[in-house]
Amino acid sequence: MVGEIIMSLLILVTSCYLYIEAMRLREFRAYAEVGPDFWPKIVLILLIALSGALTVSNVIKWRKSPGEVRDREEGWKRVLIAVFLLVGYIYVLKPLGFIVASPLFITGMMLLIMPKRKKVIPIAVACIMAIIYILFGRLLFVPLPKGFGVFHDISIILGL
Amino acid sequence: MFYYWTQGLFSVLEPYNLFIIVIGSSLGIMAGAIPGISGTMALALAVPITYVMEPTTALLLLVGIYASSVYAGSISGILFRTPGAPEGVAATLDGHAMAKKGLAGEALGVDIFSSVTGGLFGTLMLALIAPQLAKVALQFGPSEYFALAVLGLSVVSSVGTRNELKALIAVLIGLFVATVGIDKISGFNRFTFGTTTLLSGISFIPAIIGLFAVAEVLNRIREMREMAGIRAKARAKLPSLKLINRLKGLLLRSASIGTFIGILPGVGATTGAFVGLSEAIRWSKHPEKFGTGIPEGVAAPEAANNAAAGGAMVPLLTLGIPGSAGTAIMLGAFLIHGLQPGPLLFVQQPKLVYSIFVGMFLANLSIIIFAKLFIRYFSKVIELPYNILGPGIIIFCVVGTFALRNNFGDVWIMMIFAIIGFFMERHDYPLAPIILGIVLGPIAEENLRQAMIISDNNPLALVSSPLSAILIGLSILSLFSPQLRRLWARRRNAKGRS
Repeated sequence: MVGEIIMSLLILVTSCYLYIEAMRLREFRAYAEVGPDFWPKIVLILLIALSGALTVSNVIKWRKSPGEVRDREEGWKRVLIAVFLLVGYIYVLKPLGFIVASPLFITGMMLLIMPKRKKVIPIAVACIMAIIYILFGRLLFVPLPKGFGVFHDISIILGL
Repeated sequence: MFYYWTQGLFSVLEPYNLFIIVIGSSLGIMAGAIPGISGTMALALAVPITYVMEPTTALLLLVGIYASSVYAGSISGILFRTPGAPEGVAATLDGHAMAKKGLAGEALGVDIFSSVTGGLFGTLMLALIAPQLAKVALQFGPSEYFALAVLGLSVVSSVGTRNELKALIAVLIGLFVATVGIDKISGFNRFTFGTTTLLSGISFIPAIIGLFAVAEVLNRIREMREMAGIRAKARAKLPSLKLINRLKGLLLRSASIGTFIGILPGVGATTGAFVGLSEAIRWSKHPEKFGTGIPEGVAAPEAANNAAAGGAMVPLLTLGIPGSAGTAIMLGAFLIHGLQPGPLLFVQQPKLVYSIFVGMFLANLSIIIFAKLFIRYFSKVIELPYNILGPGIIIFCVVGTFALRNNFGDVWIMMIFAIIGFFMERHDYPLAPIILGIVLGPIAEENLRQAMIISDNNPLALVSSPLSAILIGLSILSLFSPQLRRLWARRRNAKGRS
């Protein structure tokens, strides 16, 4: 329930902030009464009202059942690491290139999901890389990121 | 009309297009059947592959995936009580009960036959209704289009959801996301926060891939639901003529209900399946037998959900308004290929429209062949561990999103939507309304502003025509329908007690 409250509160606070941003658009209302701020404001007012109502109802429910504790699952840690790995992967994809960054990411994710099954990692990495490279690089002609400097040279040597 | 049908048929029968439909149907069956890859996810993943294809070929691939994935959701539901997609949940009750009785083959056979019947019926209705509706829709003005978009948004937020408030919030989030970027009417930047990435708006495809594919992988990583240790050796046995004769009335009724539900904007195949099942129970002479493992319990929801898939294409093709998350992705594919679904599509691209009709017929028919083959090797496919599948899907998503415009900004947008989708799903916020909000938002806003400018800012112009007034009335009714239903049920209970 605490998570529910945080979620609805987050939507409420974000909507309020975006409404303030939308108010700045008023100055652009040059030639028509219904300017660029009109529709976003309607949407954000409704969003503020509904997320506010949801927050209040969540708080009332939480007060009625104060014994409920926040779940501390092992799964959350895994998701956090997965998000961290994914953000890191997207961040290094441009400088390291697809051919260097992707095997590192796949290995990290495989170790995260099933740490005991290490033997299949090299085969799985090779298979995934081959499928993506053939499909996007060869069949769809997508210029996969090659990386900078030495990583660019590695990508070229490996035929990317 | 006959001329366009022939053109559509010849277009689909071109060897490459035929091959693409076969690929699409096979991928759809696989995606629908494997828990963790839904039909919607498969469509989202397939969109980047279609960038280099001709529009007709691209849409045939998506149509193949779309039509067959609805069927396949029930395969793992029948065999393992774990439906591969939400559309298959309703058939799981009786289907798995039949499997436990040792009638898995029969259940899978009824599943295939009912799905194909429902799918063909839905497609037939699509082909009959869509051209007529498109003629009517040609007369629509801004106020009618605004009212239609509002109806679509109100239905999606009130029907088939557990929490209407959260569904409405999800719709509004989608509507807000659609406002980011350069305003098409005034040309001013909105909510771009000084970044160039957001100037062209939040692209639809990264949002879909983030919400439906990456968020789902994150969910699976958290839960680590495994199908380990499951072995299934079943072969589908198509129903006998005697059983078909017994089911024919039920199939026709369920397919009709499914088509109608599919046509309603925002209501998808899952709702169709449940309404089909509940109506079958209501009309049955032996309602107590449902849930114990009878073919009727599989046939009714499966005929209804596959028919709903055809029905959901009606508002997409005729009005440009998607009826479900799957058709919303198809709308994205249309736009990528420079096509705008709507009444003009029937005037400007009749060959393409009729190719889609023929493609849907073929995709539904191909289920008979590919489903039987697939079921035979299903146990092998499902053994693919998630530590390979999960990272594979994510890499596919990252590269697929990058391929859209060779832009890392899109990949970051996908990542942000994945995190949003993960947390929203975790707290029971439905994701499909966000997508429909993103799709219908520009239609609603542009037409609202146009109607206001034309009428010199008179809000009554929005309900000045009878059609727009009816549509707005229906929107209000559908918005409050859950409350009205609850009030009605409470009154009935109170009457029953007294």
